[in-house]
Amino acid sequence: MPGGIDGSKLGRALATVFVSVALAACAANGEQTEEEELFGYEEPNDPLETPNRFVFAFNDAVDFAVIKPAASTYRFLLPQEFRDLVRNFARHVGLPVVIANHLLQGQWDRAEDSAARLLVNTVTLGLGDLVPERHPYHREDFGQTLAVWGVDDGFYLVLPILGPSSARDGTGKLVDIFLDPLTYVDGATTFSLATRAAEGVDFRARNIETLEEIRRDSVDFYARMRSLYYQRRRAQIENGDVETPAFPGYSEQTTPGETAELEN
Amino acid sequence: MQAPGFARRAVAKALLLSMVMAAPLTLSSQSVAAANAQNEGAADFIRTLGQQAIAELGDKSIPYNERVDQFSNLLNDGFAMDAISRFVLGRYWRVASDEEKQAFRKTFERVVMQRFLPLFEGYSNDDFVVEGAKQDPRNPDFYLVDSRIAQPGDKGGMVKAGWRVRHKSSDFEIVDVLAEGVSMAITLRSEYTSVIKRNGGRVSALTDILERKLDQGAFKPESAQGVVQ
Repeated sequence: MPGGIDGSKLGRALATVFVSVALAACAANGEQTEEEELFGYEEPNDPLETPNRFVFAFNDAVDFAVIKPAASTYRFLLPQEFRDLVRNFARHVGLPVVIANHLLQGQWDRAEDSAARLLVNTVTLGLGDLVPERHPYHREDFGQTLAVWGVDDGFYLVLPILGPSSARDGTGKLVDIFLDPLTYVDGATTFSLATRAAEGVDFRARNIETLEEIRRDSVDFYARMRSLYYQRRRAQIENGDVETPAFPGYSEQTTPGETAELEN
Repeated sequence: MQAPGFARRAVAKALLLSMVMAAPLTLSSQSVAAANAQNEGAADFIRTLGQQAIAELGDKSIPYNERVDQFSNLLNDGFAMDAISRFVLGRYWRVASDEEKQAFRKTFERVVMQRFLPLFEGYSNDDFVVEGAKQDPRNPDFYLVDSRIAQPGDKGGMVKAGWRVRHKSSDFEIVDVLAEGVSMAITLRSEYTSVIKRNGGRVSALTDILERKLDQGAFKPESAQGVVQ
């Protein structure tokens, strides 16, 4: 019956719609309390919790033994101005990846900001920031690009040394390596890793008290960090791209015009 | 006599068109005005509460225990404490016994007080600025009030805090506090339900752990660590 409407198919489609509407209604009116309904209730997506907690404990030990002492020493020995140079430089080296992700997300204005930074700040070898107001720094990675393309966080993943991540953002980190021109330059691996390490120590140094406070007042440090990771990523993704349609269930966690809780 | 008829029809058409187009405009400007009034009400509520808190809690000449009592009153008036307590227990609220619920509710209030009371010490009215409010885009029953609060300690900066409020009879009440994109209620719920789950689903286990932490003063903000009350 070419061109006509297949009665049985239509019936099935209608039945499917009916059943899914009924299911959705059940889910909405089930046994949810008022508050669960208002905030949107989700179990943390963490099927790998046991190995994740193991890696988390390992990272914590490494942090205690190596990273935090290094960060404290770095902060103690070097003045704020010098530490800003370190951060500027690490950000500068990462700009090509940022620009690639702007373009993949269709964020033309931000791509322009980042391209201008790459062009102008190279005069200072990336140590200085000559255009902080006109072309501010934007953080962007392939995990965020995937989010803008509609990919969900996926399960929670604690990466060794790198810390909290998710299936989506972990994949993003891998792709970012391939987006980085330095990956294709012979002998640049050491430079690239050293820059990342310096950025990590600088980041840790900027958050010594904040992390200390979070650790002290939490009753489950692992669960607190997991929740903060997801919420901060959502805020970054939302604030990073105002034009993107709101992700369902995301807006209740954000306040306008804000950056991540930890200083980047 | 074609022309005048045509002109009349054209005028009528234009009139009709302008009426049709103006109708939604007037409608929306009315609802915008109503929404603005509501937003202003939510902002005023937070402003008044903040000033009251600073006046009553920031005055170190009032004995500490009295300030604790005042804070408890403010907390139960201004915050939807029952709803928040229920919310942070997630699905375990339904399985908890009445005694467990009441014990948790009391302990939780003390946790919130230990966390926030020291923040008000030495604050003046300039240290708490309400910047405005808007309707929560996701749920029209809620309002998001933006504020800036002086950084605790002596750092000189201001930090942003958002207040999620809803109507309570003739007034409002706070259901959540947002700092830098992170919700207090959602963070606590993730943490609390994880602790309960790892302790065989017992809410009383969480309450015990919170009590131990309270005794250590673990919830006091960084600036108040080591301060003996």
